[in-house]
Amino acid sequence: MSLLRNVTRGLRSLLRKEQVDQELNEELGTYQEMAAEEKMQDGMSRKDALRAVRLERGSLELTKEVVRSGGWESFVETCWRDLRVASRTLRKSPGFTVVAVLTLALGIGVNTAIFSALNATIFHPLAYENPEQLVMVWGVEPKGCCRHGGMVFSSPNFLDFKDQNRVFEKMAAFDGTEFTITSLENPQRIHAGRVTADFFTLLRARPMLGRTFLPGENEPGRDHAVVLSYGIWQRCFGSNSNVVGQTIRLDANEYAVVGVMPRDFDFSIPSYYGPMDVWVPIVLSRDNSERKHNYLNVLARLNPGVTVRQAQAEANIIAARLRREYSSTTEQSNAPSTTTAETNEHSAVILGAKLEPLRDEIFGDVGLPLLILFGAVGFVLLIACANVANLQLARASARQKEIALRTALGASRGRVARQLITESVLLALVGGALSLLLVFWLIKLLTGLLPAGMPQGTSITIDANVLLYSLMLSLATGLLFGLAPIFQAFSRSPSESLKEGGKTTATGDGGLRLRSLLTVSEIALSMVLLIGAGLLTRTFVGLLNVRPGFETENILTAKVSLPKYSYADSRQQADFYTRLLEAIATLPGVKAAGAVNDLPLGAGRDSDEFTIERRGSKDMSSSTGSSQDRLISPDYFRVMNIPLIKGRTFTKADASSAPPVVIISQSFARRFFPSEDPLGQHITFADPAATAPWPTIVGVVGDVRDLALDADPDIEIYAPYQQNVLPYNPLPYMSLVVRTVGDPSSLTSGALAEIHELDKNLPLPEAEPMTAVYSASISARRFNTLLLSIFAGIATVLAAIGIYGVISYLVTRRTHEIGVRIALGAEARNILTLIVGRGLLLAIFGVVIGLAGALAVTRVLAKMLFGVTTTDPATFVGVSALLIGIVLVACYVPARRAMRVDPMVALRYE
Amino acid sequence: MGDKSSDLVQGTLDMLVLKTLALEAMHGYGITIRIEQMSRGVFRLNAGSLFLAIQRLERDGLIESEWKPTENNRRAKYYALTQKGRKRLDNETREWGRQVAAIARILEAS
Repeated sequence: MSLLRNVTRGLRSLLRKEQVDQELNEELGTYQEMAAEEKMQDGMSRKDALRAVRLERGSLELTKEVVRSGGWESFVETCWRDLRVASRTLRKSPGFTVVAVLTLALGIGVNTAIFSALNATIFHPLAYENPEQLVMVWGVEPKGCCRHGGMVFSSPNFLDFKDQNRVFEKMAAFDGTEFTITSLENPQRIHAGRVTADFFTLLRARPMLGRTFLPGENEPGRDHAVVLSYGIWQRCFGSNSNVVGQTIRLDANEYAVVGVMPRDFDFSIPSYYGPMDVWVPIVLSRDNSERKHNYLNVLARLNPGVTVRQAQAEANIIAARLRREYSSTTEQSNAPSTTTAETNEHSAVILGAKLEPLRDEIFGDVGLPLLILFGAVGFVLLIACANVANLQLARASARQKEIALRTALGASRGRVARQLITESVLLALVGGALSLLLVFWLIKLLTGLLPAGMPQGTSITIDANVLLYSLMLSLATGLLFGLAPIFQAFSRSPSESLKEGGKTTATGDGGLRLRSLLTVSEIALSMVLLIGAGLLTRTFVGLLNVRPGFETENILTAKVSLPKYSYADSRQQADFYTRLLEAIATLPGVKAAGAVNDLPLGAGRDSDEFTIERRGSKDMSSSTGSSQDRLISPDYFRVMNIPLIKGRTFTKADASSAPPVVIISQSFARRFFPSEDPLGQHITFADPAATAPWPTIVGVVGDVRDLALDADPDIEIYAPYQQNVLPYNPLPYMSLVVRTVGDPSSLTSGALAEIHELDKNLPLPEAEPMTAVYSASISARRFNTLLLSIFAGIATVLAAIGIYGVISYLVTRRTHEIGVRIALGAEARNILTLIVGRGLLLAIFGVVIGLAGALAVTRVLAKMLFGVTTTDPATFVGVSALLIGIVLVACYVPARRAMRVDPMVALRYE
Repeated sequence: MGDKSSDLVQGTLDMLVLKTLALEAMHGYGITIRIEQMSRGVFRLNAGSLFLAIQRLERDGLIESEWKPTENNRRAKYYALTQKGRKRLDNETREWGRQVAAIARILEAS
């Protein structure tokens, strides 16, 4: 109530200033008259009476001022007045204003841009109810656990885990597959999530239409239900709200549409689980023979009040119990005592379980780099502030007189400080507003540069949060660099300033000391950034020099998928690929054509457990392990230029009827056949007890960095695609690799045309050169390195401008002294040494502080480095030298001016 | 010639103005004179402090104003206590009495 009244009265005074003023005038006039009248009744003259009243009660003008400044509105009014004065002052020195505003826009702009990226990703709450309760559950591999590559679960393991735990409210399993919708006019290849029935209820995601899956729909025979995503509902079903209840055909099977999810439901995890078009129930089995077939991702929701740590403890117990219970079934029971520790480890069904909060799972890869970049742009902004403060200090010496005059005329220090701060904040706000243009452009750049698969990467926008952040940052920036001129203004008494008549040859050195301090901090901050950028750049260059083990130039790739309904068995599929490869190999410009199910450095990978038959050893025990496995065509190694070390490659003769064969990688050979010849040994992915013939190792090839350039090559097994050696049938898709004579992209249409030549109904794949696959695999590093380098570059340029400004100021101030020196016979060289020496001193101070800072700070980069330590001496020395060099150049320009000082002119100055 | 109003305990001027207006509506000068008379000249009010206090009280809704002619046929702004102001005055008088009594007890005890 009274607040409202206060506000309305205040507004009235602001908006109807004249009327309010007039009323106050009249009221005070009456007051004065009444007081004077009383005095006059005592016999005073009117003049005396008025004077007496003024003395007794205070002057009318002063009273008015007091009353006016009593309400809050007067604060607004002063601010407004200060703003007007400030904008007038700034307009009067356009050079300063433009430079300051641009510097600030740059500093605020890069900050806001990185903030907008954070805002769209890790600051963005996951779109599920109580998302902090959601965790992914991974099995632990013999090698240890790693995110996005931890072991997935087998169906019986998942079901046991689910039954035995008491910490999860719900557990759901899911994987992904591809279907072709055949009930539409144009058959379409779509991504389908296969999920357990409580997948949606676990996420507490409600359908927009219809329902999600019922508990019984994971049973065989009842699983032909499908939930549509909003996207496909719009795209393929014309947003028809009667779609629920209709039947659609996925591959050759009929599915009843039971529901449609809302637009904002998008369960995807970067790098291995993309957005899905539809969801279907997954059928799980408790059959023990399935126990080693690991393919399920597991998502769980913690019980209320249970922490991730508590759940982890329980998961460890369950995993240990499962291991005890089932590991014996997979080991050769006749000779357990002779198995080595390593083989024992490999034979475990499940070694442990690791929980990873869903948020980390989704944002873990981008969070740290973005936060580091956020820190970096913070440094850039600080440097920008220091620069603007420096500029203001240069101006402040010229304004010293104006300020002294104001103080002498009765302005309080607070009042002057407010005026100065208003000026700084105005500058910052203009800079901030201008920076939005930069942000707009930077966001476009960021979105384009973002590593592939970055979650919600395309939704970086300028929203209310970003605007608010930008505004707050501008205000804070203004207050920060606004301190410098205030500090300067009050460092001397007004009488001193007035006496000097505003000359720049002031005796006080406070300004210069402050400016030197600012410059030293700028150099130190840039030093830290440059070292960070240096370390990342060295990492990146190091990566580019890593030999992946295969060639990337002149290879065209395309992932060809075959729908199950028309290519039912693996024979048909293999036939198709064979004919396709033969056709492509004869195209002009093609040297060789091969195929592989998962490209090295691509997203896909398979890892399976195998058993080696120890024919040579006495105890006939076997060793088991898990390795990467790839299905390839005979020409794959030739196309990729992967060297054959021993034995032979596959040929056309290794057909489905021929004896099964495999080729292993060099590190596989080293690890499992350290002292024997791997050729001729037998190895299987099937149940060792089965009667089928064991595949023979016929060759050893060079190691390939198949997972990532910065990961050591995994042990690897290759199998010919015509044979069913691997425990799964991945032939529904193969990636073509075509070695070309010239630019691989020029062959795109020719090669793809061959697909339609064989089957007109196949959807055409996207083709890209192998170099693109290679470069996508390091896109995240490229992003971080590039951005940090840009920011370090900006920081260095700003710091160079800063030191240039300080040295120029020094030269101007000491022109007289330099003139005297020259007149007394100093040579140009001495003057140069004098000036540059000063700059060098600042630079060395800055570099030393920066080195100390960098040593403390670069630790955060540790996870992002490869082949370089966080204290890499070469980077530290190189960056120091570079920065000192830049400072010397920045000093040289004003120093030359100093050398050319004409003593006659300089001395006449006085 | 000192500003005697500064001798007033912080915040008490508001209470005195309210008390003055509790008897009858009055203009600014009238309030000044009344306070000075009732304090037998101990407090002297300058115009600035008075009108600041009036502005504050009015914004808090404790008093309200009206332009009226004076007995000498001048136009003056008369202030009167509102319901809320009367309540506030009662409260503050009571509180003041409690505090004065307490302070007196402390001072006499030593």
